[in-house]
Amino acid sequence: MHGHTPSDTPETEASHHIERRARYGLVLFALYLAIYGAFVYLNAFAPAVMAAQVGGVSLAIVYGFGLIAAAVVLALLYDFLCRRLHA
Amino acid sequence: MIYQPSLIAVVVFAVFVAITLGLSFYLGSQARSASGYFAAGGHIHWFVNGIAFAGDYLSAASFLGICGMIAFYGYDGFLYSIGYLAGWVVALFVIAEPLKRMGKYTFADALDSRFDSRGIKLAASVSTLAVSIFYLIPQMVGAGALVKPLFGFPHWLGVVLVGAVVITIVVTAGMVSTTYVQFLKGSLLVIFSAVLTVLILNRGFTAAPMPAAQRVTVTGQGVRMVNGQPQSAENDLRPVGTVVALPGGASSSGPLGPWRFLETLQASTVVLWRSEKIPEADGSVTTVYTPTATAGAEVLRPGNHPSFKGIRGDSVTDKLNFLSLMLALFAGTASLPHILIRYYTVKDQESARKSTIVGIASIGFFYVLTLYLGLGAMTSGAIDVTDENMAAPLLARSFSEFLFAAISAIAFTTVLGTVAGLIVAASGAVAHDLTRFFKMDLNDTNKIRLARITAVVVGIIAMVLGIVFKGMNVSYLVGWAFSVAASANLPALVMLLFWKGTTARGITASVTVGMVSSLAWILCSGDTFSKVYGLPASQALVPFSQPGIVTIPLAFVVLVVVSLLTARPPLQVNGNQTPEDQAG
Repeated sequence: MHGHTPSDTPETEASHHIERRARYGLVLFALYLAIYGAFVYLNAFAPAVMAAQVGGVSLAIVYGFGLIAAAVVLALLYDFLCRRLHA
Repeated sequence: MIYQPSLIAVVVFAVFVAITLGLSFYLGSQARSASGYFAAGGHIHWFVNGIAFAGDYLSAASFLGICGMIAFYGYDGFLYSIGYLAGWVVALFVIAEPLKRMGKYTFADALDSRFDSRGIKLAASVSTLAVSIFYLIPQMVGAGALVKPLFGFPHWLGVVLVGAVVITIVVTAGMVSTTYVQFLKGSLLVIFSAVLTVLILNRGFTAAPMPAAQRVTVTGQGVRMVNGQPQSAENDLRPVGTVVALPGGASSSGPLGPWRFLETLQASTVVLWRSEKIPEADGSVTTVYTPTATAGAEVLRPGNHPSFKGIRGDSVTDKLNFLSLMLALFAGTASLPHILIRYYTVKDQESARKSTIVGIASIGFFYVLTLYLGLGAMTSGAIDVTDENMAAPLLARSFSEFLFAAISAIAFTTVLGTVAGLIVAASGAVAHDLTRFFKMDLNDTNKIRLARITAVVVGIIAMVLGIVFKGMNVSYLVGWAFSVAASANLPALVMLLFWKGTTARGITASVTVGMVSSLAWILCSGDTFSKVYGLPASQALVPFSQPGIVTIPLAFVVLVVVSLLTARPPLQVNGNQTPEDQAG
């Protein structure tokens, strides 16, 4: 990914995989950043929204749990994509 | 409150220390090579490494600080949980695998992998030392503060005890023993927090009458008076933590599921306590603690803590301060040297990835539990109104003396695990990076010898600072460490990975400017003025306290500009560096 041409490294296939994994990582990172960014934005600029009730509790709680769950789910998805690459 | 030292707590802690020290001596032989000492030979299983990530990362600030903040102010503490966990996404998706691929023992290795630049080695090792020391101080002060109520020892003895045990762990077996100590601590912390949460849910809520206000007066002679009488075992502050009204006027909720627990609290009324210091004419100072009935819906939304009040106001600088904090938490995790070195203890990139995922799962689970622990403490009737940090141990005491002992001992070992990681990071920065800056060509034996000496010296510095800073609220130093790490280290790491035009001088300048600017901003900020210098926050030289939103972009800009100015000429053929690029 640092300008290696295939002849640079003996493991041509590995460097191809490295680039694919990096791309998966960036896409998932951008996705999470959007969810986290929206959370921070709402807290700062529309704090009343965070007090709204969703399923009997505040949106702040639901969104907070959602962020933690999203991190775990995206992490597992990333692992799945990386392993499929090697299969 | 006056605490009775717990013999069981001393015994539980002594057993843990005996196990960790025994383990260190047993594993000592594995740390005779530099690779063994700095990176546990790359032999750590990914699952063990993942749990050790949790043991490394979840410091006393995470455990005691967040639980205490939630217990006293509600949701706001959970914002830290969310930010601290989000940072791991950066670590997994952006940093983990390239860092493992490009480095050997320290993150300076990765930064320097394309250049062999002395400037990068110097800048990265100084930033590692600065961040590690900032992080060490609150851990050591925390050890001293915990040891008094838990074990009945004086502050200095707690600090020396932790320092001595950690130095022994690190010196005997470096990263090998550090890893297993963190693994043990991480497992115990998550398991016991889960047990406590089950007990909290099982207990549910019980309504109680509104408590009365309480007063603590410290006279000019230093005598502590509680509610007008000298403080004693018979006349002490009443423990707090009350639900005054449950939905439908019920007197008790009975056992609750995890979601019902939050729903019930949302519809209940709880008591939060506010304190006010009043200086009196005779030189004594009275602190009045006033109970305030607060709707559960209010407790479960952000903006109750003084640091977060601004997000509900109109001030733009308050909002920027909040954005800046959330950015530093997001960007700081993947820039902390003691976290980054853990990528070198596993065998390959796949293990680095898997162990990060285990880390995310266990740390995420723990942070979900912090919400229940905090809210459980808030409603436990067992809290010391003068001490946020004791909320989690006192919550445990409300169930049983053994749980109190176990949680206290775990809180103490929490300090051990994190401090060990920080000292290994600092000793790597000196023995592996700084020596190469000075062009000292050390063999393995001498490198380890120097690393051990550094570990002892850094450990002693940490002990001295832990004693000097006694009694100061130093938890904000963890925030400093995150801001400085995010500003100094992350822009350089990210640009190295994603921009081919990055040069050695660009990295050196970015790390230096990121570190110096974030530090300068912090030293000129309102928080530091009021908490450290004792000056009014209004005299601060910068508009808000958290530097990240300014200094992280600044470090990116500096890297790009300096790299463009020092770019190598395009006629370069062999991919070798030019002399000026190597000079860094």
